[in-house]
Amino acid sequence: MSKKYNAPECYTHNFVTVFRLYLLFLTCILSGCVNIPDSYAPPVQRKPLGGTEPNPIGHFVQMGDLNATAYIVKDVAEGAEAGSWRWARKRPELRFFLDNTANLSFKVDFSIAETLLRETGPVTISIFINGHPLDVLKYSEAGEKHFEKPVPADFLRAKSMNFAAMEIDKIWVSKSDGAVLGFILTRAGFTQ
Amino acid sequence: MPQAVYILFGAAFTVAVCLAAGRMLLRSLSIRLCRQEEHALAFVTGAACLSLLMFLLCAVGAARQRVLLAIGLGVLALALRRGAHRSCGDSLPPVPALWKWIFRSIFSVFFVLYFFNAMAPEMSPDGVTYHLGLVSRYYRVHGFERVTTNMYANLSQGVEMLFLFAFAFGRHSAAALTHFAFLVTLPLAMLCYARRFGFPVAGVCAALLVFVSPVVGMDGSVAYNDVATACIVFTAFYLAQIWAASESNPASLVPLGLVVGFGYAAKYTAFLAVPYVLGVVGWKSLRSGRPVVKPLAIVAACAALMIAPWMIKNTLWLDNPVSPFLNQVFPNPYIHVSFEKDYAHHMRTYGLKSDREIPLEVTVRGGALCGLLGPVFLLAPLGLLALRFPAGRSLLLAALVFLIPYPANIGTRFLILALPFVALSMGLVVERSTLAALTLTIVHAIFSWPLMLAVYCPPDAWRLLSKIPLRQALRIESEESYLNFRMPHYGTARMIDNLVPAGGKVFSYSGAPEAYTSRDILVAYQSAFGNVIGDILWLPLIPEAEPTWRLRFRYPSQPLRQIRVVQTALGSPDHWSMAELRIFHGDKELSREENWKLRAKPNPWDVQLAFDNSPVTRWRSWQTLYPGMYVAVEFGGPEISDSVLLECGHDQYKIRLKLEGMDESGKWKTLADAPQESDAQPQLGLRGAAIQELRARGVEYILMYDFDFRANDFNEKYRVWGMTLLGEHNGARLFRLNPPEPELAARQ
Repeated sequence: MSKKYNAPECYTHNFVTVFRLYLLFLTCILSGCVNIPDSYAPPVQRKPLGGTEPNPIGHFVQMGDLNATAYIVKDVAEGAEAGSWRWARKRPELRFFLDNTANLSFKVDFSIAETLLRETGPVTISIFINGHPLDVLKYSEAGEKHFEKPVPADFLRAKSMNFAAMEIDKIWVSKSDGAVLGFILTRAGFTQ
Repeated sequence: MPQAVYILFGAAFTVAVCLAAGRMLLRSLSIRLCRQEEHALAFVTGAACLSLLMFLLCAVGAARQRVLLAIGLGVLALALRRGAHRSCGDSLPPVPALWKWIFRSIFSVFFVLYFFNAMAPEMSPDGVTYHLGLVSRYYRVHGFERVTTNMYANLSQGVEMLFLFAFAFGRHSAAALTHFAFLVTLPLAMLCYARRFGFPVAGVCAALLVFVSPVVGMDGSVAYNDVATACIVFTAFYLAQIWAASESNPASLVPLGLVVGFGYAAKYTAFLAVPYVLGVVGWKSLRSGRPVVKPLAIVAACAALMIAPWMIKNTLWLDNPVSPFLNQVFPNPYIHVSFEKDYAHHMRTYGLKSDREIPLEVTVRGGALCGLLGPVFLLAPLGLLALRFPAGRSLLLAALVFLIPYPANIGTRFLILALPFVALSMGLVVERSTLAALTLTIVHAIFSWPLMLAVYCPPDAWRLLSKIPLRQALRIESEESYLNFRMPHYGTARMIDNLVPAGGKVFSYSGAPEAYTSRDILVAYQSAFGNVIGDILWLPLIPEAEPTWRLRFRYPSQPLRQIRVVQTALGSPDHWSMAELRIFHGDKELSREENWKLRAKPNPWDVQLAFDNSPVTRWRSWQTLYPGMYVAVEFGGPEISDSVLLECGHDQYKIRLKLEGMDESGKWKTLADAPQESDAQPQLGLRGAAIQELRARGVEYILMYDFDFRANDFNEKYRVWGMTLLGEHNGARLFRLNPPEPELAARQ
């Protein structure tokens, strides 16, 4: 029994234990070298991108936004349909506040209704920025349309309101109540 | 003097110094070796010594050409004085005449092929990006510099230290030829081992199976390190066998330990050589009834001598001894945990649909897994029959051990480590039948010749060209001309050198051939810093990342010492992030005072990004979601507040947040279980803001490839971003980041 107790297994066991302890010790030492600071102070504050106080009117509007009416100057329906789009009439006009005028594009998502196009035939939409003609678009097919085009900086005014108008050449007039419909406006504004 | 002479001198000088150092060490320890095997074993042992010496020189910034020349000449002179150049020892048992002829014929033909490929201008993908990119960087600054933005600089670089020695004299191709020296040494060592232990035919067969294997030839003739690592590991195995067979001469444990440690220094995946050799030494000592601890201690101490420098370097500079791995165990600001996980996942799959594709990919196709062993290795399972022989059992055990890391990286190159053992096992099985052994060897040689590979491999297989680049190797055709023709982005590297001033930092999502430019290339995926830069640049392009999502926690107005937003969900792949954390009392935001203490878990190092008022920078967890993540603010004293607003991107659909606060008594309590959600409008000027954030971090140039994500936006709107297009080469565009407008105006 005593001989068995002193057999090499015991030696091996001790060796393994010591080796494990050594590994544990080594890991602890190495972990101790890890430099994790406790906390940081607030960094230097960046200036707000616009450089001015927040304005309720920005550079882009979704027709479903709660404050979309603030952007509408004329010829756009009061209420949003399905929470996302509005009817535009002959010459819908929107306003946008811009801090800077460099490198901006005018972007608009709209649709031409099949029913209207069937009655009016192909339509032409002219786009104006602050009264300057930006582009003329011709459509002979209904459906969703996307327009995006860079706007020359001299068309725009920095730190003030800018006006975008889209004039359709043919409108649909309801025979029953005289309602005027041009196209469906979803979103519009200036982007980079 | 012709460039080819410098190249050959650089490589030959390196090999000669390794050989001389190794021979002196082995002879000073009175280790009895046979004449033929001494060359191979001395070369690898000497390489370990030279590598360690180079590490020390790099550490003290003394890696200059003159210093290296003096040291090399000194070693050679000492070796000559001690007579180490003279062969001694007995000869190994002879190889049968037929097999000697077979070996010499096939070996010579492939030797010529590999030699000229290695000497040709270096253009291997990893060679020109990091293996030699870092070597050339070390050479420029005469040693190591603290590199925290390139995970490859964190890997052990034992073989690259030898490349650096050669590079000092012969530049890139001299380094590749140094690797080629290991490629030649490996089959010779295998043959010597087989001759010593009585199976020379199996040795010839196995040595040729390895030497002509397409992936071995390809890898060994460029500035990679896989073949060198395999050679080092096999040498360790060989030395262990010699020690076990030579009545356990304790002196032979010294080179054994050095070579085993050199394995780790060469490549992390070779770390298994350490437990393997310790196991062999311990087991043999136990079985023969000799002391166990002393031989183990000798091996461990010598191995530690080679391993410790790399671990210490990483611990001191990167807070992680085994960076870029185990970042969860050793948290650090240099490598993100998420990157490590993504990288490991990619290495485990390489985009394969099923593991069942692996056998054919690694033996016949060679495209998806970057290289092929040759179709003959489909017969590798035959090697299991070698279990009948004692040597076979040793070899198969070694093969098994060195295959363990393979599932972690299933690239074909990662099989090279175990390949010598597998090939020797196969050799043992077929050596009884001359016809079978001859057929196996010759068929393999034929199927491995580049012209044949072109017949059955897909075009994207990683392999040598069909034509030996003789004119290019001898620089009859200039390096510039060849690289411009063969390497798509050599011109990009030259463009960077021409257009970016010295010290300029270039950011890229996809990297550049760093070995051919002296400018600092910061690659998005290679570090935490690069990840953050890449995130900033992408933010204006990804609507889901734009901080338009508003999460507001409301609670009764009260004085608080600390607040913390806690994330409670578990899930992937989302990371938690926030561009800004603002604290309000009524409508007024509390100003961020200098005595505030900001904390985050995980990734505490980036917490300031959530408090810098910039919409294009954001604190990210850089780990997938787990409960207990938090971002906290400790005020200088109790502050009255009633709401906390987070400005976030939507790209974190699975997060669940609550707000906790510490009251004046120091007790934490929940202030709000969930935030109110709303959306703000996208902001203009994000692109310009992102560019200024890069400039604030010292990055003044961007290199954008056509294949990079949303490269078209950068190419078409670089003026909107605030950049100037400096140059273009082969679909890569170099932009300079313009200073902010007022600064620009002031300059004009």
